[in-house]
Amino acid sequence: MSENAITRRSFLAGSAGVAAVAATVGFTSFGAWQSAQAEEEATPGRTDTVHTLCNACSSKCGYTAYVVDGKLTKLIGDPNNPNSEGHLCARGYGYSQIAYSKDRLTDPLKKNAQGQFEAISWDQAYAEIAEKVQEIIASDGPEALALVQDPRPSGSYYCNRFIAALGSPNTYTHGAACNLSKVSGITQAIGAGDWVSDVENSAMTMFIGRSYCDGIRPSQVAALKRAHENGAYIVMIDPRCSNSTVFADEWVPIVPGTDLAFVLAMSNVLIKNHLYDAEFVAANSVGFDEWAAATENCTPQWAEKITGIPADTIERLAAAFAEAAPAASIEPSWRGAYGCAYANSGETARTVALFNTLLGSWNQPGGALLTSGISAGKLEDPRFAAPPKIEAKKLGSAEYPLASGSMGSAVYAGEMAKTGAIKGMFFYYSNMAAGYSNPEYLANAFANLDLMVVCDVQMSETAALADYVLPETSYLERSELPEFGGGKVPYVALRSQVLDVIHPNTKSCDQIFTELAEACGVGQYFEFTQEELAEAQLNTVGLTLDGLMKVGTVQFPEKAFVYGKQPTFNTPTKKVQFVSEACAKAGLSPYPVWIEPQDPVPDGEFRLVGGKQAIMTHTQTANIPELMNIAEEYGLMRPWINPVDAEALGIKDNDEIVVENDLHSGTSKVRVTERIAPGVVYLPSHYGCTVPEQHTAYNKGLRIMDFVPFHIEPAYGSTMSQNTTVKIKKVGA
Amino acid sequence: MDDAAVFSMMAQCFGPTDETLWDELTESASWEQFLDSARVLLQDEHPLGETAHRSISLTDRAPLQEFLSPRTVDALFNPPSYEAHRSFVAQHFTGGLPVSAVPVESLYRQPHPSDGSPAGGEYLGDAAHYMEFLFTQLGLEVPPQFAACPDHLALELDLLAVMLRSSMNRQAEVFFLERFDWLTEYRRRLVDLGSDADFYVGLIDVIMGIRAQQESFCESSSFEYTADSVA
Repeated sequence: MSENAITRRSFLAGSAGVAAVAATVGFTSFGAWQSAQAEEEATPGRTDTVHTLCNACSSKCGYTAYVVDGKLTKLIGDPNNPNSEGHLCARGYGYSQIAYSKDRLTDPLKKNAQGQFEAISWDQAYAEIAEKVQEIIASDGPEALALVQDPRPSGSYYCNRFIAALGSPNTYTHGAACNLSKVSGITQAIGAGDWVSDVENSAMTMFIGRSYCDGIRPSQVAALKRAHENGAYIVMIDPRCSNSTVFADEWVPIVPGTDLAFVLAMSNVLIKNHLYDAEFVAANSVGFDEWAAATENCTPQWAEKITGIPADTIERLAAAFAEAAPAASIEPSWRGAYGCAYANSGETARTVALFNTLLGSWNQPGGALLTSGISAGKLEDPRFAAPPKIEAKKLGSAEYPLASGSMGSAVYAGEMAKTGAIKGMFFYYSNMAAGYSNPEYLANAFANLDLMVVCDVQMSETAALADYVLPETSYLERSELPEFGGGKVPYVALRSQVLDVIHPNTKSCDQIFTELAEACGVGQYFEFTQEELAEAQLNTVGLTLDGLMKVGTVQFPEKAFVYGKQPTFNTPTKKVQFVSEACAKAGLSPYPVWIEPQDPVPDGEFRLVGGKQAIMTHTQTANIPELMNIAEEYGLMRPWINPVDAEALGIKDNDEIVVENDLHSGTSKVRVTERIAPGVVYLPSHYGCTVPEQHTAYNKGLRIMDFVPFHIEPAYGSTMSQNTTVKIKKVGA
Repeated sequence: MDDAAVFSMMAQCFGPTDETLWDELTESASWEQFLDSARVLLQDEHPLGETAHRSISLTDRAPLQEFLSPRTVDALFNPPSYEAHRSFVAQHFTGGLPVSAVPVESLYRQPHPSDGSPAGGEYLGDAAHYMEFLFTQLGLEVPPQFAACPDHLALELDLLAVMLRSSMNRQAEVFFLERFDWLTEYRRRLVDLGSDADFYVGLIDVIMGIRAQQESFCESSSFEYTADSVA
């Protein structure tokens, strides 16, 4: 290149004609442009609307995005989407700003020999990852590979297909740190992992550890509000007085981890006093008599000593349930108190399902509804055929046989990374290192891997540990596969692309895993586009992709739930199982009995509980400035302690305190409030980010998992996220 | 080397390049010419683009050391090898890392108060939308790799060079004085990265120095650089 070429080189096409253009149209200064912009706000430019799905949590609420001249300006919940019902929560609005965040990952990254990340090309990333994958398969077999994901419509499909194409059975969801025990325990009782409590039509609904007004799904908040207005008796069992209590008649604080004893005692009351639906139980269950005999000693007086709930309260609530039945139920919960929290979480979930059986409330108005969903039918196109069946069993399925097969125990996979049984791990939209178990343990475990690949939109604690980080487009910049959902009325909804791709070197997950598969030599299982697959899936339920894009959500009223329908229990006996052979095989009692949640609390220590706040989801939203501003303004990062405990320790509201145990120590301002039971510290689950790449979240608040040891719930495989204690003291005391 | 070429050279230092182009760019003869021309601009009292009016010979000019720190002068006289430049770009001109220093105006400027964005900057702020507007107005196309950042320093410098080359001297002056004040903040970011960033800090100092010189000249003359629209 000549000197002249170097000094005249331009990135801008069309520069030769600039003089002529400028002579005609002039040049507008920034000040003039800003003034014009201000005037144009009154008369907006081109507005596009797109029906799409939120990604601020797993609910995937449907909304309409308004884009003016390419910029996202407004989000309005879609009224016909059953999750949003026309409304979004603060997280939904706030998280949309991730698209423009200065902390977005913009290029594929590789960790160099000095342990620092460097941008590399996609080709280099794919080639090097594929080479490592092949090495692992050659030396240890495909079973030495694993993948962890937080399910999203396209992520679930492409991640599972990718790892299956490589020949590994080891795909895991985040469930082990979310709702694995709840789903798995309930399944042992009724053959399904969930039900819908018909809250708004109920005479009585009890929530155990779940708060609709903190882990918000707008339609559920609205239903709870209607229930309250309709006169339903709403009871919150929770060591924390959650925001949902505003719609409740009663908050019953409980010793953390003792919900099993409480439900056993309520069951005891129903059985002892013949207040249960004996006819339903006799016709639809097995093993009742054995369980009834086993609960004879689970009296309210017995439970009072364990739970801290007065015996007469337990008696009263059980009697109220009997009075309200069958328009009554215990809500199934999600993560709450027994999604993954304690050594007895799975058994607690099983018992809750059995309690609803005693009420005879299955499929009754106001009761516990076993609704169905809708899913894509069989796809005839051979391109969509599944990869060959894998004979090997998922790692952890033998050790934790009750864990839901579709979720698996991701924390066990972490343990296997530490032992060397797993040598290569992929993570999609999963911050396992910060949120699934003890971060120090997991960091050490992942350090043992020969290959660690993380796909995300911003640097997380997990991504920071990886060898390769693959930058994904934000959810606003990509379309995904249809989301098939259940409930009273099954539906299908679609995430459509709202914004043009902002960072040209980021890719959507379907593209990433398709190209990664090609690089790894299994591209033959991905010879279709996401649009073709979506079209094929939708055609099986009588829809088209274009048609769904126009409306965002389509419901199937002809498949709607019908009250009074005879419930189907998909258990081995096709009945509700008060006794479970699988549980017995897994080393548990065949019928649920009391199991201590954890070791006794040493003198002077507190049980530690977590839980969502209404403006945050896991650790993924803490880096959104708009949401963190709210957290800071209202002091939401503070741990909560009861005034009785505070007084004993000489602590006042907003004092700086030390929270510590053998694993970790940290300081924070404290909230002294009667909204937490004595003897308990509540620490919100969203804070304490340790990666400086997240400029807003970094070093704000305490991270609850730092105080939790690495351990796994027997039989069920969950992380036992609240199975720990801490000491607190005033700084300087 | 004319004024446009000075800005073009600097644009290439912050934009995408390859080994051949980088070697040509930093080849000693052309790089010396660049430094000489930059030195003149740092102390010249004529508007941008009026190269012909400059009469004082280089030997009469103050050395670069008068305007820049010895460390950055040394870095400018010894531009990094392609491998060193590639490594710096791969670690710092990419987003989402603690050591990210992506040269994009929106990230270093307080957002427009009316748009409700948080403090601290984000992609595609007002500066980016203005640059998009300007490119469209002037019949230019934003290269695809700059889709997230039409307000990238490489493009702002490039546009300045294009305007000067197109005899839009007055418009270039307006653009130069309006746009480049964010470099104070950006320079701070680069300095935080340590000595590896000295070369780039030096280039920023050159731009800021020329801008200060032009600002001073404009203030002492009747030049109305705040004109809303300049035909």
